[in-house]
Amino acid sequence: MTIKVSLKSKLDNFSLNINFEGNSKRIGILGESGAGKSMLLKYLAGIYKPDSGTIYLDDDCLLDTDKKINVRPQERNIAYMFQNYALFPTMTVRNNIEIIVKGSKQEKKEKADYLLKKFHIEEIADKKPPELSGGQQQRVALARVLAYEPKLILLDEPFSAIDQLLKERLQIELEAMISDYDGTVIMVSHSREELYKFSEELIVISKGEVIDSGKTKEVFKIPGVSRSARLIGINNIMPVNIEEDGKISIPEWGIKLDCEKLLPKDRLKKIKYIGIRDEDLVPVYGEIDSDEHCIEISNVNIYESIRDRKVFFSIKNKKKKSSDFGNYSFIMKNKIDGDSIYGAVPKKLKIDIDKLIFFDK
Amino acid sequence: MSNLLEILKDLDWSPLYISIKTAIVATIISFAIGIHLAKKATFYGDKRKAFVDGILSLPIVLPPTVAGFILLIIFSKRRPLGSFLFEKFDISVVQTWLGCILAATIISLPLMYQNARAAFEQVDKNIIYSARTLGMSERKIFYRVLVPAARPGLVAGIILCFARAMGEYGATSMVAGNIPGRTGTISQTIGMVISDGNYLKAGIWVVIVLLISFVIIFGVNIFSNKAK
Repeated sequence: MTIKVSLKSKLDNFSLNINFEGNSKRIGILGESGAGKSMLLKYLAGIYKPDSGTIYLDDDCLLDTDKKINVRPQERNIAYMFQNYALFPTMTVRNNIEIIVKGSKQEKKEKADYLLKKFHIEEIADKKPPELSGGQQQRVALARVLAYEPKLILLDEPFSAIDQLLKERLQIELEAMISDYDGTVIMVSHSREELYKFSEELIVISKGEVIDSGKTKEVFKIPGVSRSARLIGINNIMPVNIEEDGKISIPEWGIKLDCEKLLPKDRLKKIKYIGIRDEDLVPVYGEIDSDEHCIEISNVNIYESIRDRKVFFSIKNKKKKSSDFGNYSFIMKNKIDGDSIYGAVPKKLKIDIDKLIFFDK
Repeated sequence: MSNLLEILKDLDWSPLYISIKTAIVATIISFAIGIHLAKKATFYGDKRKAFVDGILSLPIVLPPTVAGFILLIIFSKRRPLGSFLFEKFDISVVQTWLGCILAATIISLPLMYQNARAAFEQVDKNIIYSARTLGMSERKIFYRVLVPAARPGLVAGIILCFARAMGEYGATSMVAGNIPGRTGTISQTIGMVISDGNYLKAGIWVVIVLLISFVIIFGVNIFSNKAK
């Protein structure tokens, strides 16, 4: 199925202006909180109407403001699964499912039996949603959505109400449960991990606009624009100048990189930004032969987690900006050494230039 | 004491029946109208919301005699609507039980509306939205999802509405009058017997009203505790 969307709408803080076309069965929409992701889903489902625009599922027109077409949510065949699952609170789990199934009493019962079994929620069939855990509610919500047999399922931050510990397991579960669903699923999230695992195709949204799109793995590997690079987790992004000798200079870091071998000349000329992943800045300890591609760091702040430390830093000898928190970052794996699990924070970092990411915009 | 028994033996119980009958009918009408208006105001972004809200809140702040006066003006047989209803349909409002119902409904409807709106507003809107995207008709959503979810608030509204209709005095006395056996409600009877100086008889009715009120408040408490 192809979904074609072109929407414009003025919201409280910004304007939404979204155009995209999706062909995959699993589409991810990535964006920071307040980027307009949930709003976009509500427009798709027909819960709200945008100021202007069109929505097509294959050849079916669901919305065309010029032609005054706006199909009611009941007739769009698009099921929306909300962040808080929005189960019917006064009905049992079974009734939550049965009320959605179309057909005779017997058909409703059979379909509900099948879904209760498939989603392993038979034991809680007679309970009401407020008695259920987040994970159980999610399963019921999914079962209810599938009971409707929609063409398109919209998942709005499906894991935001789930305990951190259960998240990974439930992500795998969710994929398994909808693996035999033949329609399209669009999942919205601010979490790049969730979408990396889930989606075949990725659309990156920032402040109401699509800033990047493509096959998920490719977008993560080589993001198209510097802005989306930040969203998919590349923290070190700097504007660059191309010198006459073909070197790339990074003014913010006061360093020149020799990248002639990495890029053809005509591509090199167009480069505007450069991105370096945290793990591609290699700590340097002790003396080394050449300082080529090395930077000296200062103003270090450390974010500790169990397996590694993320180190935020500034560049030494550069005048500090207003914030005294480092703008750039790299990752240090924790080493277990006797009682201490920490290695020292290095003074220098070497840039792994084979892994640089180049942006034209 | 013998005096009391004598009065009780000869007591005309019709005010009790008239009051209860009136309150039941007025509550049913208020409920039917109130929840639909409340639904429109809460869930359907109706632009007339502020207007409807204002009109429906008026009877709460106005003296009931003002509502009575307006009803009298509209339904008097000397006025176009009143005479039209009487001549075409043989319906008369003034000085009839219908007048009792009308007055009680106008005065109690705002309570039902306000309570229903508060109850509906507490229901998560996403529940309604998701029901829509799952193909449920608006009617089904209203009766199967929204009303059950708002039930505790609606029940409290019904009880308060009933109580208000039962105690209505000002508007009723103007529109329906106090015709014993036809429009004489408890509130009006108390007023009448006091002005006759019969404090004992008035006291009996006061005790009856107190009993009914107590049961009502008790009911509201039970339901609001359940809602928690």
